Amino acid sequence: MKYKVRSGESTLEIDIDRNGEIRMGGVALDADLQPSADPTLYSLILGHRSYQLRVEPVEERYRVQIEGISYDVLVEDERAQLLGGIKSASAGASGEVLVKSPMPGIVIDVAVKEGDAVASGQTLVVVESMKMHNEFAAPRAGTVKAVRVVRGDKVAQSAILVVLV
Amino acid sequence: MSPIRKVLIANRGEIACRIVRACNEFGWSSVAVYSEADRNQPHVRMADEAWPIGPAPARESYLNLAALIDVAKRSGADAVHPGYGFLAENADAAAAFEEAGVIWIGPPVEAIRLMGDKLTARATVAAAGLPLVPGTGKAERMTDDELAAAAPGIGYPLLVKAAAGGGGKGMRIVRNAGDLREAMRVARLEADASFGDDRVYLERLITNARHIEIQVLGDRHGNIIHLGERDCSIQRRHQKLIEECPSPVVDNVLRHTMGALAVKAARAVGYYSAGTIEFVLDNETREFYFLEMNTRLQVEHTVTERVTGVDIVKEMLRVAAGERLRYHQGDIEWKGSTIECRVLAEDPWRNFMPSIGTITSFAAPSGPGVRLDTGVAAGSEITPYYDSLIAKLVVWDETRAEAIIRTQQALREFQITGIQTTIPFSLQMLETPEFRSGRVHTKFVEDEFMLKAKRNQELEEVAGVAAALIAHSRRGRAATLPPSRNVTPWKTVGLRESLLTAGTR
Repeated sequence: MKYKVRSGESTLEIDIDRNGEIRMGGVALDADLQPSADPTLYSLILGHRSYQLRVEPVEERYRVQIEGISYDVLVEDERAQLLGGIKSASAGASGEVLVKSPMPGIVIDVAVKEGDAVASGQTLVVVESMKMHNEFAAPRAGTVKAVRVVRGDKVAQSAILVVLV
Repeated sequence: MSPIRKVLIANRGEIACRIVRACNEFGWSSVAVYSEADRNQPHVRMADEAWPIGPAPARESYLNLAALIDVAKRSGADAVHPGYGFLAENADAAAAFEEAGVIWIGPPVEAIRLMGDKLTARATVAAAGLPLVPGTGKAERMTDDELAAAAPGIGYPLLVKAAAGGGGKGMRIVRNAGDLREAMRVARLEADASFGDDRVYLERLITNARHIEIQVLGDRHGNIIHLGERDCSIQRRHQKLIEECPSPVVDNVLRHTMGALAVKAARAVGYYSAGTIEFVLDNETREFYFLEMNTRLQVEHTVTERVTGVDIVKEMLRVAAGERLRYHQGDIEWKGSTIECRVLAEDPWRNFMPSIGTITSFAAPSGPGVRLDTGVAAGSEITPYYDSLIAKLVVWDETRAEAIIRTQQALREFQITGIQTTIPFSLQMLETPEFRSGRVHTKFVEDEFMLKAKRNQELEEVAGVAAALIAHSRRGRAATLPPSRNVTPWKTVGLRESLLTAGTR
């Protein structure tokens, strides 16, 4: 099976055949990946180089931590690449932008109301989390289609704050 | 017989765990409190008793004085340790506990009150002989002519500040005498518009400053000593990120000069227990000025403990029980070098945005000279309700250069998944020539330091290979296993991969 792997800034072509032989960019690798009783902990020996890894799935990616740094890795097989192309095309056509809170918190200010025209970068909602104020701005210019929160609301991670069209 | 046998710990997280340990070492019982968000946190498990005190928001739980006093009474605690933050510098809270017959493991109420008010604190320590940042003082009304006459004595660059001010309003930086009059005119207009008060005053601007603080320790018998300095110049928006002892710019003479003044300040308010006098030190001139006194245990007390060998929390407990300090000033020696990195649940790649979620794994570093103070474990929820400190990595070695290397080693070993942390920030900061040569200042993180993109092609490839193998294995399992078989995907990877690799070797 051929995989297109995006790891940080690198794009890798990785091929794993029926016998488990792995090639990266056409070059054969000697790779031995072992899990542990801790579900996130792995040992990878790559041609006698030993690495300790922490791996966990984050949305559709793998977050791989090595020596204190995390790398987000997207692994796509041929079919997934095809589907991905269709999905992004349809998202562009609808033109709706969902402004979400990337973390849970408490809404301390809502700066817009339905029907408002907003400029790109304009503050829409302020969410307090861990004693810090986080301002969420319009990613592009548009009109406020819906405001889903009011001041004082507790919001969950990925909660939709504002819908722009 | 000690008057203390049971201690209420009015705090959470790593400092609550730290205090539980000290109580255990004395054979005293510990009473933890927890909010609804913290039932599963380690401090609850570690303590001898645990009492719920209310909903998640701090003002309804850890700041809820009535609930805390109620727990103290019902549990029969003889004393309360406030830790840091929350009620630690609240004189009314200290007084309320004492009135309820519960010993406050901290300084006298009056000292908290005096040092908590900035103007009173400045006047008190100035009378004790501590230097204040040169300036005209904000109390009286001065005309532009009077201020201009005072300016040469203060020196440039200086700040014109609104007496009623705050938040940078009515503040102007003046770099030379020619610009002073115009700056005062604009500052007065702004101050009048913002605060309805056009009084302004002048203060020296220290552009290349270090944050140096002196740890003091006193008992109820009039003994006060200092434990030397901590350098906390690596900070972002006044949040300290890395602290060290000794400071690379403080020699033994300066240490004892600052230390003796800190003891004077403490003595001026009848201080006992642990406290910290904060100074700003001018990198250019080596002059230093009083900033404020923190009348509590500090987050970074650990670096002082490691270098002096004094257990500050145990001394606080001893002092609260009425005992004398175990040390005289002459007993205190500073050995080697210690660096503390605060590990925060914040994403350094996204402007230190809070990172909230469940810690899915937590592997602490260890080895010679490595101490880790933490209040979380695998499974802990990081919630938005409290501050983002999850661990303090405290590393000692014989020299500063070696301590930096050892700290980096420990940071690379430290694995936390499920949330983002500031470990990558600390790793890169310790790599900069400025930190390594000790040439940093309090605005270094904000004005000069840039987190580098995490480009490391070798490790990106390693991560890519690992992820591809895992994805391939999950894919194979999905194709071959009947859907009813409930197997955690992560558990099957290794077997498959080891079989696969065995077949190819």
